[in-house]
Amino acid sequence: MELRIENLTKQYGTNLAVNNLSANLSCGVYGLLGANGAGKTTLMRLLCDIQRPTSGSVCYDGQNIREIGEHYRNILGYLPQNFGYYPDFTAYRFLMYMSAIKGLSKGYAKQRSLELLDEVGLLKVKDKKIKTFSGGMKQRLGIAQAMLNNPKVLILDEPTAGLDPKERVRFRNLISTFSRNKIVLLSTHIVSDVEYIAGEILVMKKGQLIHRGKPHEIIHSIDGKVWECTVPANSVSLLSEQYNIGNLRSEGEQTVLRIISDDKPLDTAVPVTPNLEDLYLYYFSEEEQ
Amino acid sequence: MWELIKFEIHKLLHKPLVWASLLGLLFFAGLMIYNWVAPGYSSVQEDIDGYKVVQEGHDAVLRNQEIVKQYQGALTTDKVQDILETYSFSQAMMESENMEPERQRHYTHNCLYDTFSPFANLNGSYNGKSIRDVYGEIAPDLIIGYSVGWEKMLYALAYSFLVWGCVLVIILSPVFSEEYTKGTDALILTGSQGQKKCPGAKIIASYAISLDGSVIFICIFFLSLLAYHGPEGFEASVQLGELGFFTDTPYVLTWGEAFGFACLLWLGATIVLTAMALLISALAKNSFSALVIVFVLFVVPLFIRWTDFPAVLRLIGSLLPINQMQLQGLFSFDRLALGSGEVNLMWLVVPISVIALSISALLSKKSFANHQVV
Repeated sequence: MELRIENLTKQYGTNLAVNNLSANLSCGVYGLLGANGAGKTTLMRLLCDIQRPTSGSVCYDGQNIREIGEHYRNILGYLPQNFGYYPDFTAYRFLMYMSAIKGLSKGYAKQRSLELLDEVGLLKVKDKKIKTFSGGMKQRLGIAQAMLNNPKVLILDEPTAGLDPKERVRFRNLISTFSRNKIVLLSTHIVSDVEYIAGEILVMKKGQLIHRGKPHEIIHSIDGKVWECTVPANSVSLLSEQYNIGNLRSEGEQTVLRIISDDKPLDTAVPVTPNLEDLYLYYFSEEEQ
Repeated sequence: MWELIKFEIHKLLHKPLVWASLLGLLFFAGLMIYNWVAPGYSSVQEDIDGYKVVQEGHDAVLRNQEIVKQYQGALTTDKVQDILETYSFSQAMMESENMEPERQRHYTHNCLYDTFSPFANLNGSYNGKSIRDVYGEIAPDLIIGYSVGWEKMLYALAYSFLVWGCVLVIILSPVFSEEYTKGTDALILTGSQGQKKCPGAKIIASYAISLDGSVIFICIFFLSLLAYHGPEGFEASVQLGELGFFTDTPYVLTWGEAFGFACLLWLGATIVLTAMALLISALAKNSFSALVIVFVLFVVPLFIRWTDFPAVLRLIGSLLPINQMQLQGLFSFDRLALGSGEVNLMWLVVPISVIALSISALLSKKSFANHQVV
């Protein structure tokens, strides 16, 4: 099972949202990291065939997904960034509707819907209208609908947005259990989600893949670029303007700074082991500003 | 597929705005039946031995039917004269009731007197016109009968259909566009049935609602006709109606045939309106713009003076859904000579509906399936 992305480009006017991107995805969980506007959502839409590329192609097991059409959508599950729903539908009715859209038989749809509602912790509120749900509950419902047809290719755009830490742990466990022999691609700003469950991380910037590898491999790429130092509290604002500060911890009159920099920022700075968040800040600090 | 259709019907109908519109429609229809079809406002006034005798409501209906029975059958100038003479008011009665004798024609008499008022002077005396003078070449073939119920039912239903059309616009314009607005397009289009069966289900659901609704609507009014007036008069000519709703029809047509053609026009208009709503809904960016565009396309032709245009354009105007629902336009066109016979132009509604349905179904399905999620 393989999803092959070949020279994929999507242009909106003069803006290249996805710029000649190529990648091969086989079974496993892939984390897609990138700042806002990096092209993650556009890439996911292209992989789901709900946007037409300007050039390039996406192939599943050697066949262009535009040509296999319904067969590809049969094995696809998708959670968009802004999850749309029908406010007056109950959670259960919504899953039954999505099951009908995915071509599932009524009997199987009932069983699968109840199963997934239980997995995402919404079984007790299955007969309540979606408009009464909190943001986290809606997101969990979105995850459930993406998994209805037990997809071989699961694409999740910001799936943990709005989830509290307990719900995020539940989600990570769900994906880890689910992802055996599947291709799972998820994008997120919450790097810890990706760090724990992704077998491979793809770093996207300005429509291009700038890095790809296992978490520990790509983290090593910024070895020697993450520093810690202790400074007086009153110098923090000045240093924040000069350097990329990853973390700030007050200890009385002093503040411990975690700085991401190619060069040693201060004489007292010592190199520390980088993490994925440091990597994100290293590549995307300008975009975030 | 059946499950999808049920879901789509649910999505279209289960909205507060739709319920409010349907309630408004029921209220309007009830008002039209009460004011026009129900005999409540019916009145027969007669001069009996110099006294004004008034019968209202159901009594008026029965008295009208009694009077009509005496003159039922072919229309003749003698019958018309007899009706005007027999049922006019005497000078003495009018003076004692403070009525104006010189304006007798404006007072209510009975359904036949009022129908044949074109033959009366203002003071109620016969004006000397023959039936050919008023109704032309078709005059000898016209049949007198109890037209009141049929005419009022068709009149009330024609105007109620305008309101039903507006309600249909509200129900149907979100069928595709709502998915774009709510963001559910991304979920639907990534489902295996999302690009073919789902749009098909939406189309079927839309026509199921619009056509079933129209049939139910027609049945309600038809049953009210049967309840209040009975089926009498279905064989009478439409030109001889009290309201003059179809006086301009240039060929002999009975009320029964008119009702049949009216149903054809109403259902045809429903199909074209549904087709229009589906196509605009699939092409529009959001629900609001779909609603506005469909509403404008539906309502604006009502305000155009089609009578100022040449016959071909007038025919096209009459075939637009809102004008078709009103009936009068298409009923005023003469039949088309075809070979040895004649064809009623109203049958054009059939191919137009089929073409509209086919094109709209194809294009809206394609448009939705190829929609680029943004």
